[in-house]
Formats: sequence, structure tokens, C-alpha cells
Amino acid sequence: MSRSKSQQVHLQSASGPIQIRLLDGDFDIVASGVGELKRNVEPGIYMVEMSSGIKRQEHMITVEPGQPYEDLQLVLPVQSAAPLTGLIDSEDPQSVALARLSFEPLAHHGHGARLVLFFRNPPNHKSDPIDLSRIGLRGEQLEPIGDLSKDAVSEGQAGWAGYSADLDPGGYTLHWRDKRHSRWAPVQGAGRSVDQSLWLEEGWTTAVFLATNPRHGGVPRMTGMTVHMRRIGDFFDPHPDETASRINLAQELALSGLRSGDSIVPRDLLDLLLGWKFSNPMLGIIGAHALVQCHDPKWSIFDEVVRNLRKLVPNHPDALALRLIGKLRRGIEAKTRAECVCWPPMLYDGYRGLIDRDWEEAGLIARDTMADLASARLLPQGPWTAWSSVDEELPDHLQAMPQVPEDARTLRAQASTLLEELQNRPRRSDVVTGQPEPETAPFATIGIADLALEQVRSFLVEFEGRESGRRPDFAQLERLRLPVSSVERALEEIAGRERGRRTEFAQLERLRLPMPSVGRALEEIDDLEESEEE
Amino acid sequence: MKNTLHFAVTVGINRYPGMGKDLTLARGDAEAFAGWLLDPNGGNLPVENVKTLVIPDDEIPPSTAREDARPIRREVLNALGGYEANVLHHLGSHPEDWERTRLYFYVSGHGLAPGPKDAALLMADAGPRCYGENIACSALLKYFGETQPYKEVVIFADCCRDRIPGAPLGGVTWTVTKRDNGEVSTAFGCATEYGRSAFEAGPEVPDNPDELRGFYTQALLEGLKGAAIDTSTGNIDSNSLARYLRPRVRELTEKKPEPQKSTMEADPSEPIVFRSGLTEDDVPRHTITLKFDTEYVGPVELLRKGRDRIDQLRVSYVGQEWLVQLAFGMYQVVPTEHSAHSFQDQGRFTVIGAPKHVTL
Repeated sequence: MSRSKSQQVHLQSASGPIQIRLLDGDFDIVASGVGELKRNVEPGIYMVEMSSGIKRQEHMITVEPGQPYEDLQLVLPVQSAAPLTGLIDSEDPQSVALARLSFEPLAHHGHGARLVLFFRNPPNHKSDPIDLSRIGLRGEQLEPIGDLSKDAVSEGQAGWAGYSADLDPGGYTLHWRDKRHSRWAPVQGAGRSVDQSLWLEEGWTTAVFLATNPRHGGVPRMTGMTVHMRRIGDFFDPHPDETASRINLAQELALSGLRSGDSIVPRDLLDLLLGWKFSNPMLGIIGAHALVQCHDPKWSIFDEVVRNLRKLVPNHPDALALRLIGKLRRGIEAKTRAECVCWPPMLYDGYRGLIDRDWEEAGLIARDTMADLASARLLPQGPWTAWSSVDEELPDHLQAMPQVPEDARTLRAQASTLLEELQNRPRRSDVVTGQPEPETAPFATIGIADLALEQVRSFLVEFEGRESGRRPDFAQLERLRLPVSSVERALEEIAGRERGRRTEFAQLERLRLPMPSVGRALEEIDDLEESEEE
Repeated sequence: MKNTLHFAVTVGINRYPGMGKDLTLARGDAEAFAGWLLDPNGGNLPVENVKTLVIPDDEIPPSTAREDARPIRREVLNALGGYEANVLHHLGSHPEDWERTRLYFYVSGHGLAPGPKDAALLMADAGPRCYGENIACSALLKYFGETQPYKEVVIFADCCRDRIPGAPLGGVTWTVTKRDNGEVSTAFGCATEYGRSAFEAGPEVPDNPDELRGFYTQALLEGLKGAAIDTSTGNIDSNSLARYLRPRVRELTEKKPEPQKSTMEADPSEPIVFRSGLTEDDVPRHTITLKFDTEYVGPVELLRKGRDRIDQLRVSYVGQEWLVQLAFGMYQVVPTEHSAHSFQDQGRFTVIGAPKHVTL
């Protein structure tokens, strides 16, 4: 075959804004595009590589002399747990079931916000049973809400189960019992309880989609979970529509990118972010995170998305987290005029960004709230925020605190000095709102084991061992990636102060001792203290 | 002549007493990479310029306390610091030699990734409460980018890139003395993408356990030893290596739940050259068995890249086999009579890094 002049290769995706690459016979990437590519190349054989997140497919093509090559129907099926237009055949009974659940909630535990939980079997295991015995819904105080294994509905062989409820707006968790999670867990292979952040915004239906794992008896999987939002009363895609299809696809592909750390933002997504018609704030949240991941983010689009989110979902912690991440990335020091955050953002990157910013605007994360306490137990499950449940007993080796050096007074003094400095730093509440932090926070009375204390104590012990006589600075404490409030609480405990707070009876109750025994012990301590004072 | 201004630190860790999960090949991988560095046909470094930080497995029995495990951060930093002092001392009297300086940093072991652009090797004394015991490659790149003791910095990380919340970045603790010697070129190769695992070969490859490698290191050494030659320049450089590693690592891990996708962060317009002056004869070739399984009888041509004829044959019967020696690349077999006839997938196939059978 002789060399001849170059021919145009035109490739276009029929699966939305997937990444397309054209590789020559030496596996050199000669062209790449998102959703589409055009390039003049020499005749010969090439490889077309399509990818979205971790999913990848490739095939070889031949560019003949004198003939342009065109394939405008490249297909890379998007794997999504959501039976939505663009991701699934709209005639699928699951799609219809979803629309019904979103329109007619099965339960009413509050009002103002709506939640849909939808579980799907993989296509080749449609008729398998779905096991919801190890997943539940919990409220802001971690109280169970209903029983999913009894309350969810399903449809025989159609391969789905679903639940929907009207609830008060606010923070909830998807509670996973006996979850076999990351191999980085402290106890290898052990099942642990995990909570995953959900936020229900007033006026919106938040739909959480999970695929099941047929190899583990049909239990839902956290991997691959996706979330979409619609205004309450709007169906989840009853009628196929090209825009809905593009929005759903774009969101899933952006989410895949967040999972894999792929920072490519398709032009289609940018267009949709600007003209999304306020139909699905989750597209804005995920899309904005995708933008931030880029080397050179388009800040004007990012800012517009964040402004829209502030109007659409003003209380959503993920929306606020994005504002803060935007400031952090650009080094904007201006304080943020917003309520402090009490609930962890749903997206892991958002939560991490919020914690980072908290060190520049101390007080962003309200002390003793779930946003504060979950940080020390955060699990590496990205892209969603999940943490080892706060009300679960810790494994023995984590309950055992690190050995305090012989001179424990040094440690206490170190903590005391740091605490004083920390408390003398300007608080966001003083600067921005003029209001003090809320005095009573929801979790002040839950006697949880606090891993933050352990992390701070370990840090101080190791620092003292390494650099005896020196004092760590805040930049070093900041690297613990804990909110200021968590570090402050830990320093208080190490320094032996309790910030004037009285022990609650609920905390004493967890000692599991009879009341007379506790009473006797308290009297003895009282006597002892009096005699010491004398 | 040895590359006396090239320096290397390789680290391989099998034993992690605090993690509860050991590795089997990481130490050998670091030693094998050091072997390539010392090879006159490889990196060609003098022996005193290569520091290999490995500990024999039997010196770290399972009863070892986490804090007693080795190697640790300090050893790595000491090794890097020692070479930095050497090269700065030399540059003090020969500043013109800066263009010839290079640092290799190779790591193999458990790892994590604090962010999408990072990979950090967990040191032997890391554990669930001590993930901060790591060496973050991005921190090294940043440090050497600012202090500029080397013109080129090459990092290969054969480790997982799990997201670990709360794990502090194991940065460089030295004082930064900024210099402006010129533009520092870097190549940062990772075994896998952000948030994903990297694997080592399992016992299914039984021939000689000492020759087993982590999949990424296996591909890396193949590439550096010749498979990644760019025949147009006679070089193996960061571009041609990335080109080889991507499909080869994927092929090696295709049976894993999530095949690895290796990454290479380097400037394509300023590739770092690992070897040069190579010819076609240096290109490794693999035995490819082509089996003609269609009714076609007649002459065929074997084309490289689908256009350059490299061989021909007359097919005489169905089931006939043709053994050819081919290098990394894409190929096509086309009939030269009855051009309407087509073989399976139009006779197209790839050769990546191993012998294979292709049914046409």
C-alpha cells in the first residue's frame, strides 16, 4: 500500500460526552476529543479508544487512501444505577416505577422535602432477590426512620426495589450495617457500620440510586451510587427528551470523572452547566466539582454555577462547600457570609474542601455537629462522603489511646498553649455575623468515642518525641485534615479542660453502671477534691 | 562513559507490620529497577550514585512492631539529601554541568493518593493510625522544582493510589532554597490512576518467583530495556515509554477486577531521554502465530500500521499457520488477490509485549 495524502477521520459519540482518542499504529495518540473528534491522518490502521471514568472500550479502524473515515454513532454504554432517560430504555418498567415513586411517596415522616431510594439489579441478574436488611435511613439525630426491608416496594421479576418518603428538609444518613468496606479499614475484612451523608433540600426530591451486588446476595453497593434531584412534583423523566437525556448523561460522566480523578470536562457539560434550566441542582454540584478538578478551571462558569446553586438550594452544604473551594483555589481571603455548616456535604471533595477552608475561616464548621464529628471517621469511599458510624463501638486497638510520654505534663502544657492560641484566633462568627457559635449542638450529649482526640494526641506525642522542646504550628495541625472545632475539642481534653461544660447524664448512662454506684462514686470524687483543696 | 551526574534512590517495601497486609514483589521490583539503572545498556549510573532502600523480608518478621519496621521516611530523605548535597557541591564549581544532572526516584509498595495528581509511598512503619508515614511524590517534585539541584527529575511509583482521608502528605522537611538554574523537566509515571489499585503478579506465573514483578514495573523495565524504542529517533524517552506502558500495563492487568491505567505526567514537547542511539535491531520482537481460518487461498501481505509492507505469504489451505517476529505496534494482513475477501476484523491485530496467537 503506498503512502497517499491524508484523510479526515470524523468520530462522534452517540453516548454523550465520552472521551475519544485516536491512536496510530505505534499507539501514539494523534487526536483526542470529548464527544467528537476530527483529524486529518495518513491512511492506515488506527485504534479508537473510548472512555468514561473507569469504563473503556477500543476498536481498530482502517483509513483507506482517498476515503475520509466517519463514524458518528460511537457507543459506549454508560453504566449507571439510575434508570433515567439517556441511561436506560425509557420504556423500561423501572423507569415507570421510579416516576411513580417520585410522584407518590410511600411514607410521610415530615414535609418540605422528598427522598427516593431506588435499588436496581444488574441486567443479567434482574430476577434475583434484593436484600435491604443491611441498609437503612437515619435522621439528623441518627434515629432510624422506618425499616427499608419492610417499607420498600418491589416488582417481582423487574429487578428493582424502591422507597420514597416526604421528610423534613435537612441532614440524613444512609446507614450501612455490617458493610464490608475498604481494605484500609482498621480491621481487615471486618464488617463495620457506615453512615453516608444525605441532604434533603426544601422543595426538592432527592433520588439516590444504587445497584445491587449479585455476588453478595443482592445487597446494595455503595460503589456506583448516583444522586439526581428534581423539584417536588416533577416526574423523574416520564417522557424521553433530548435535553433530559443529555443532562443525565453529562452528570453520570462527570461523576465517573470524579471517581477516577479524570479532570476532563466535556464541552457538552459546560453548555449544560450554563443552560441547565434549573432542573437538577446535582448536575450543578457534580459539574462544578468536575470544573475545579481541571488544571485551568473556567472560573466564570464555576462562579455562575455556584450563584445558581445558592438561589436554588440555599441550605445545601454541598453548595456552600463549592463556594469555599472556589475561594480556596483562588486564594480569596474574604470571609464567607453564610450560616455555619452542621451537616457534612454529600460529596467527599466538598467535605474536604470545607475542612480546609475551616482553617482559614475558623467556625465554618459548627462544633459538636455531625459536620464536625464525622471528619475524624471519614472513609476513603469517594466520590461520596461516608464515615464509620459515630455510634459504633471502636475496635479495641483504636480505643487504646497512644502511649503518653513519661512527662505527661509537657503534653498537657503543649495542648494548653496551642488551645489558647487557637481560641485567640478570630472566629468567623465574630467577623462575619457578629453572632456567637450555637451553644447547644445536636451531638453534645452523645457520648461518642472521638477519633479526633486520638489523632491530635498521637500527633502531639510524635511531635514531642521528634522535636522535643519545640511547639507545633497551626500549619502542622492543619495537616491532620480535621475541622478547627475537632482540634479545639481534642486540645481541651488533652489540656484537661472541659470548657465549663458539665457531663451529661446521657454520657454517664453509657458507663452501664447502676445509678447508686455512680452516685457513690461521684460523692467520693467530690470528697477527694475537697480534701485536695484543703 | 557513566552518567556520573545521574543519581537514583529506589525503595521497595514488602513488609508492613502495622498494615496487616504485606506484599511479595515490591522489594524485588526496586532491586530490579536499580539493576537497570546500573546496567551500561540501561541507565548507566555509577554504583555509588544508586541507593537501593530495601530490607530482606526475614529481617522484618510478623512480630515486628510497626515503629521498628524499615525502611522509613528518614532513610529515604537521607538518601535523597545525600545526593542533593553531592550534586550541589559539584555544581558549585561546575555550574555548566547542571544540564547533565538527573534524579531517578523509584518506589514500590503500598501507596495512597491525597489528590488526583499525587501518589505517595507508604513507608514500612505506616499503619491505619500512621498514614502520614509516607513519601509524597508531588512534594518531591515541588521541592526539586524549586531548589533545582537537578535538570531532570524522573519518578516512577508502582503503588496503589487509594484515597485516604486524614493522611498527611509526607513532604520534604528541608528548608527550601530557591534557585533559578533553568527549566526543570520532570516525568512522573504512576502504575495506576487516582483512587485505584496497582497489582503485583500472582502465583499463577510460577516459573521463577525471583523474576516476578509488579505489573507496572514489569512493563516499565520491558519498555526501558528496548520495547519502548521510538524507531524514528532511536530513543527511549518519556513519550515513547508512556506510549508503551499504557497498553502493556492494561494488557497485563486485564484479568483484574479493574485493569490498571498507568499514567505519565511529562511535557510531550520536552521528553526526557532514557536511552539513545538505538536501532531497529534493538527492538524486541515477539513470535506471533497467525492462523488463516477463512476460505481464502492465495497471497497475503503483512502490513505494519496497515500501510508498510513487511512480509508476504501464499496461503495454501484453511488452518494454515504463519509464524512472524513482530515488534510493538498495530498490524494488518490483507489478501492481495480477491480483494473483496476479508479476514476476521479485517486482518487487523496488535502486538503489545508478548507472543500471541491471532486467528484471521
